[in-house]
Amino acid sequence: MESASEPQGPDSRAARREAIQAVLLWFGALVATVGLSTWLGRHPMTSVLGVPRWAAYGIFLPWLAFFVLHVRFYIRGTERNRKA
Amino acid sequence: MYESAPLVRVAFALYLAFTFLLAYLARRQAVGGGFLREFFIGGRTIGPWVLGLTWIATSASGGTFIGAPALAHANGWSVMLWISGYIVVATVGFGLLGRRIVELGGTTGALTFPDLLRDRFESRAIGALSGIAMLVLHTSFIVAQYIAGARVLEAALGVPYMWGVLGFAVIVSVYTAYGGFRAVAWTDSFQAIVMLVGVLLTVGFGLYRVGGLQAVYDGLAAQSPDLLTPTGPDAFLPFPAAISFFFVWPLAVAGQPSLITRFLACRDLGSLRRAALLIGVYVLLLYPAVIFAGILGRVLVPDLAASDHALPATILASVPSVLAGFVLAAPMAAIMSTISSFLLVAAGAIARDLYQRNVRREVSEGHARAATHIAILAVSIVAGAFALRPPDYLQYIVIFSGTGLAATFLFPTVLAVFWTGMNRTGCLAGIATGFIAFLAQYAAFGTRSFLGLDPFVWSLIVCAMACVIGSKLGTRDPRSVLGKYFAAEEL
Repeated sequence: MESASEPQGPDSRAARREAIQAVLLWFGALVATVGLSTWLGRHPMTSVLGVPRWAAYGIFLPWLAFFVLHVRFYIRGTERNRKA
Repeated sequence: MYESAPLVRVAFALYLAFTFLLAYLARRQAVGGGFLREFFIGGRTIGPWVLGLTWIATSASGGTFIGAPALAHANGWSVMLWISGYIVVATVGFGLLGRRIVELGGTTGALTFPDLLRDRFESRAIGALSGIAMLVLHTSFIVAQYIAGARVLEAALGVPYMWGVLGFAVIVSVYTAYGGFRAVAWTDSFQAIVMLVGVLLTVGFGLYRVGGLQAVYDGLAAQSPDLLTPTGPDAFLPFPAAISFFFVWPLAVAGQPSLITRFLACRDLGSLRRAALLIGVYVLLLYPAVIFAGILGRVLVPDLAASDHALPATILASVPSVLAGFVLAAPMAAIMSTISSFLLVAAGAIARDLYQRNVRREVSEGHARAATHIAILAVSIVAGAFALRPPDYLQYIVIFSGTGLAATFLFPTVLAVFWTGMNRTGCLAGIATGFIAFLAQYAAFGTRSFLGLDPFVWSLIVCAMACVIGSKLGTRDPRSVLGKYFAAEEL
C-alpha cells in the first residue's frame, strides 16, 4: 500500500512509448538506407541529376520520408500534450 | 597555404566580437536562484529556439565541419552513406530521453548529468565514476576541437598551428567562464545560424564555380570512379561499417551527457517538441550540405596541404573574398560552440560532481564560482597541451570521444529513467563495463572490432547486458527512492 507521505514522481509511461517509437523509426531508417544504398550500389554507376543513383534513392529519398515521419511524430506529441 | 584576403581577418574579428557581446548580454539576463543553477542550466528557463540551436551547435562540432568534409574529400560520395544515420538523429536525440529528462529535471532539481544518476540511485560512487569518465572523454573531445580550430586558422589566416590552439583555448574559456550555460546557449544559437548559412553559401557558390551537380559527378568520375560508389576508394565503408555508423551517429548523440544536460535546462515539454521540429529541418539542410562541400572540394581543390583543410580550402576557392571571412566563421562557430558546451560539462564534472558533492558539500556562492572557474582553466590547459601534437585525421578522435561517452552512459541512463528494476549495482556495472569494453576494443582492434563492426556497437550491447545482470544481482531500490521517479502505478 502506498503511504500518503511517499513522494510521487512523473509518470514514465508516455515518455517510454515515445522512446520506443523513436527506436522503431531509427531501425526503419537503418534498414531502408543501408539496405537500399548497398543494393543499388552493386549496379553500374549512373547519376540522377548529378547524384549517384544509389545516393539519390538510398539516402535522399529515405531522408525526406523520415523527415515527414519526424514532423508527424512531434506534432502528434504536441497535440497529445495539449489534450492532456 | 591557400589564398585569403585581408577582409577575411576583419570578418573573423567581427564574428568574435559579436560572440563576446552575446556572452555579455546573456550574463545580464541571469535569473538568479543560485550560482550553480544559473551557471550550469541557465536557471531552467531555456525556450525552443535556443534549446534547439544550442543542441545542434553542441552536436555539430569540428568533426562535422573539418573532419567529415576531409573524409568526403578523400572518399567521395561514400561519406554520404557514412553520415546517413543523421536521418534520424533529431528523432532519436530528442525522442529517446528528451521528454523524460525534462520531466525529471523539473521534479528532482538535477543540475548536471551525474546529478541525475547519483540521485536516482543515491550513490556517491556513481556520481564520482560518471564524473571521471565524463572528464576523460570530454577532455579528449575538446582536444579534437582545438585541433580543428587551429587547422581553420592555419588554413584561412596563416596563423601558426600552436598559436591557433592557444587562441582557441583562451577565447572560449573566457566567455564560458564568464557567462556559464546561458552565455554558451546564446552564443551557440548565433553560431548554429552562422554554421548553416556558411555551409549553404559554400555549396551554392561551389556548384556555380564547378558548373552544377553533373559537372561535380563527371569531375569525380574522371579522378576515380570509386569516389562515386557507396563503399568508396580502398573499401573505405564496407557493409558492416555502414551499419555501425547508423548506430554511431543517432545513438551517440542520444547518449551524450552534454546534450542530455540541455534537456535539464529546458523550461517545458512544449519547448522540447518545438525544438525537435526545428532541429529536424536544420539537420536535413546542414548535414548533406556539409558532406557535399567536401565532395565539391575534391573537384575544386584536389590537392591539400593537410587533409583537414578540405572545407576551409573549398570555401576560399569558391566563395567571393568579400563573403569568405563570414563563411569561414561557420567551422569556427561549430568548433567554438562544442568546446564551450563540453568545457562546461567537464568543469561541472570537476567542480560539482567530484568536488562539491564528494569533498565539500557546503560551499558559499563565491567558493563554487572559484572552483568552477579553476576547473574550466584546468581542462583548457590539459586539452591544449594534448592538442599540440595532432593526428592526421581529426574525425577519428571525435568518433572515439563521442562514441565512448555514449557507450558508457546511454544504457545506464535509459534504464535508470525508464526501468524501475534498475538499481545502483546495475548502473555501476553498466558504466564500468561500457567504458572498459570500449577502451579495450579500441586498444586491441582499432576502429573495426568483431565482424567488422565499430567498437561502439559491441560496447553498447555489453553495457546493456551488464546493467540488466547487475540489477538482477543487486537489491531493488526502496519505494521511497523509486517514488520520486515513477508514478505509484508503475512501482
